[in-house]
Amino acid sequence: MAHESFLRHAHFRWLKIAVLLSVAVTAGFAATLMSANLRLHHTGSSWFGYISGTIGAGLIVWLALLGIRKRAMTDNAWSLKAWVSAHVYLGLSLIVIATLHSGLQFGWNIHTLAYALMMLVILSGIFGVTVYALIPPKLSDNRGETTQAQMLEKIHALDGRLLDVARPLDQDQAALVRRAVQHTRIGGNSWQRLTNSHGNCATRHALTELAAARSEMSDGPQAKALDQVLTLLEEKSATLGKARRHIRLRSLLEVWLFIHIPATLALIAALTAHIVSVFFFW
Amino acid sequence: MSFILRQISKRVGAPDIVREKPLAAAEPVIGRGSDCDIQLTDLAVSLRHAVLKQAGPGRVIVEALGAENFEANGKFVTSANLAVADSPVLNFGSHVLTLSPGDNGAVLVLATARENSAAVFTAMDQKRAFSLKYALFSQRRTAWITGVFILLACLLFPIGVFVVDHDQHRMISGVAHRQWSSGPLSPGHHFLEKNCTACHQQAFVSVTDTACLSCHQAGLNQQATAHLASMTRGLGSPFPPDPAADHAPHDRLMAAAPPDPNLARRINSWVAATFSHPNNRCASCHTEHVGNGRAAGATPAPVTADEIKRNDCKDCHTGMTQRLTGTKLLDVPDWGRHPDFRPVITAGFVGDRPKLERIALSAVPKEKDGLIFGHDVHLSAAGGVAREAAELGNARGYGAALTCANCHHAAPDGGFAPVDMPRDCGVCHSLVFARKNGADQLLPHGHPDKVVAALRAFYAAGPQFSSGPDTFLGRPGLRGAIRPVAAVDHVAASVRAAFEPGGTCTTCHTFMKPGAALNYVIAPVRLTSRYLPWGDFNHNVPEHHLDANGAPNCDTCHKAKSSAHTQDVMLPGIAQCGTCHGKTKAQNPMAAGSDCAECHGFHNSGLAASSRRRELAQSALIRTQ
Repeated sequence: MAHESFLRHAHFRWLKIAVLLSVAVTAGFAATLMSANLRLHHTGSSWFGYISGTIGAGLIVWLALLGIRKRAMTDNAWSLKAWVSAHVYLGLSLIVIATLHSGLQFGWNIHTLAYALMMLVILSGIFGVTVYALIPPKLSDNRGETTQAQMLEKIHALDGRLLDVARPLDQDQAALVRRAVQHTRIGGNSWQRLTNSHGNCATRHALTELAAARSEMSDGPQAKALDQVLTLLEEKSATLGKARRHIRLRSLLEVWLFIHIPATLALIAALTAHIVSVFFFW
Repeated sequence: MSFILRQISKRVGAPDIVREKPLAAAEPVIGRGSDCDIQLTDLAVSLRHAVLKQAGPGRVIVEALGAENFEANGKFVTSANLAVADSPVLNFGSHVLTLSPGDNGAVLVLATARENSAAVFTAMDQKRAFSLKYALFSQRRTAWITGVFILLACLLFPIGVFVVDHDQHRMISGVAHRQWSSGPLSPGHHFLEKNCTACHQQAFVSVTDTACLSCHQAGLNQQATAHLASMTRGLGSPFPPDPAADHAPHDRLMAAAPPDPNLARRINSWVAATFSHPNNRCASCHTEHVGNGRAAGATPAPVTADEIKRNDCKDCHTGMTQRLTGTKLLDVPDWGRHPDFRPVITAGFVGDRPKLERIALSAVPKEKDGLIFGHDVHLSAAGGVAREAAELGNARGYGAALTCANCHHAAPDGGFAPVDMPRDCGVCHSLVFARKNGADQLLPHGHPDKVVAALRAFYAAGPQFSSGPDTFLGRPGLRGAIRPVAAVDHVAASVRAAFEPGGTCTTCHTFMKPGAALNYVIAPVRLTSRYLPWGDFNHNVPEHHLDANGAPNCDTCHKAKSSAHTQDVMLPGIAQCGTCHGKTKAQNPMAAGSDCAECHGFHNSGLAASSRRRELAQSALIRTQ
């Protein structure tokens, strides 16, 4: 079977279902609005409110179950791909359902907190879907056939060669090389990973310093050794660049989950508080 | 020319192992894969990394097969053309390949692995290097922490405070429950913002009418009203609660209401009632926790538009006589079929208590209010009254024939101040009976006993009639020449002059003959201040008392000029209202609305919803029940 994205799964079946659901809820909202003379008051406690609220809460719970469902791969009408497709489109329809359920009545309260968390989950999800569509080609363009292990091995091998080749260098230059070998961090912290900014990279620092030293040096045995070190440092720098681009792309693929997952659990807690509080003091 | 591979494996503490074999392939492939001719076991090497090709005598071309480059003679390249005689060195990861001329023109490839490349990168190492997971917080732990925090702070804390604290500590309750509030309270209820349990008394039960009526109960006595006012002040209310009279007793109200024709709303009502949220409560109409809360003052909780629509007056007041047994109310299907006015009149007296009756105007009700009075005489343009008014002159507020406003003074509530005899009648119907020290002595207007007491007090002081300014007028109310009179019993003579037929007071009042002495009995009088207590009419509306030229036009509605006796009920029929109300601007430039609410309120039908005359609601309204 040819590869088919979860977005296009079954000829956009779940997109159609989500649109139908949104249209139905919007119609219900419009009917409620008409019967209330276009004045919004306690939309949640109307017929429309209870129904849209039940649909919304049910959807949220079901959508969250993807976290459990994803651990079991199956291949049928309820395949994981179908499930993810439904997850994305029904998740998007929640924007319509929950917004109309709220009647746009917001305030500093648990109800708006639940809404805000839900929107945070959905927006991070939209980011996730977007990077899943855009990043993988870039990832493979950057990586080529090189595997992650290969990148690490290559850097390690270059480090070994650098220590070999740097032996004839004087003390200061050898220290720069040793620092480049021992203190170069491939990934770094989360910000460095996401932005690919490595201003204080020890390898690049050594490369700049040694290249400057070489330009002031006449040819000789030491210059020859330095040339070899520079070649290896350049190669290491290029390899690091590739690895770091790889890390940045991977981080972009992963980062939204750090919002999506915790916000989902927070949402379920806030949703529980929202529902209980509404009926507790009703 | 062919290639011979000599592979040297270095071992720790043992001699190196050297293997040598000729390579069958004309163009051997270098790589990590097992199918490669020159297999280099190093992850830094690609599966098929590069290929060796012969390029003429003594020359070899090395070409990368993928994107990965290799090191040739100290340079990283993807292709290299090398002279075998120079013994070029190729580096692939930790492996070093040295080319040199071999026997019979073959190329010897010497492959060695550097010792310091023993590192093995595990899957974990890769994750640490490449995944964000190890640079950022743990998703799972963060999820649990935030989830549990929200549950504790936003659910368990408020519930705990409700169960344990109830309303003992309003600050804590306020903090705990405010996060549950979906919006601010109406300005009138703002002081309850932190006191949730004032209204929400039971968990999972909607706000009951009992909670509302604990402050808004109507019809309380003065003591209870004062108690309520002090209680609400204690809760922080800047004003006393507004008593909300029930439109009708709740069960009667429910009996009068027809089944909702809208099936969805009927199901809604049933479901809501089943889940402790019936929609016939105070709070069903007066919704709270909405709006922006910016308004100030005592504005009551707003009534939603759909509730007003649902509680349309005509829904209940059409065919209600069939649904509501024993009702005295007539059906009002619409404005055009509003029944004739049925004023509440004084139909006589039982002892001193007035007997009130509600009689339709079409039945020509006659009042028995105990007063002798003719509007016609007083309003006549030519009679003695008019002449006397002219005599009094402009300086005293008269000067021409009497007008309505000479006696009836408009009140700010839209009605009229009660007629005050000394002020409104006394200018002509003088109560002066003597002059003492240059000051007029007036008989008190009110009870006969007070008249007798006042006369006794006057004569007890022993006035001198023969000289000086102290003078007896002979008979109260007589104006003209003052003549000294000598009388034996001044008190008895004066009382008789007041109460006996032809006496001063008998112009308007009737007296019963006393059994003995001077204890005359006056027939009770009750002037009706409001004929239609269930409807609101504002005389102060310009269109209600002025004609197109701005002149008073009382006689449009009240035919006083032709009324000879107070028994006439001078009320216009509802048709008079209909000349403006319910008309279009085309029909009448003064056209006005014909909503029920123009004249009737829901809680107090005698106070129009549009009217702000709360004083009227506070005043005792006459109800004939």
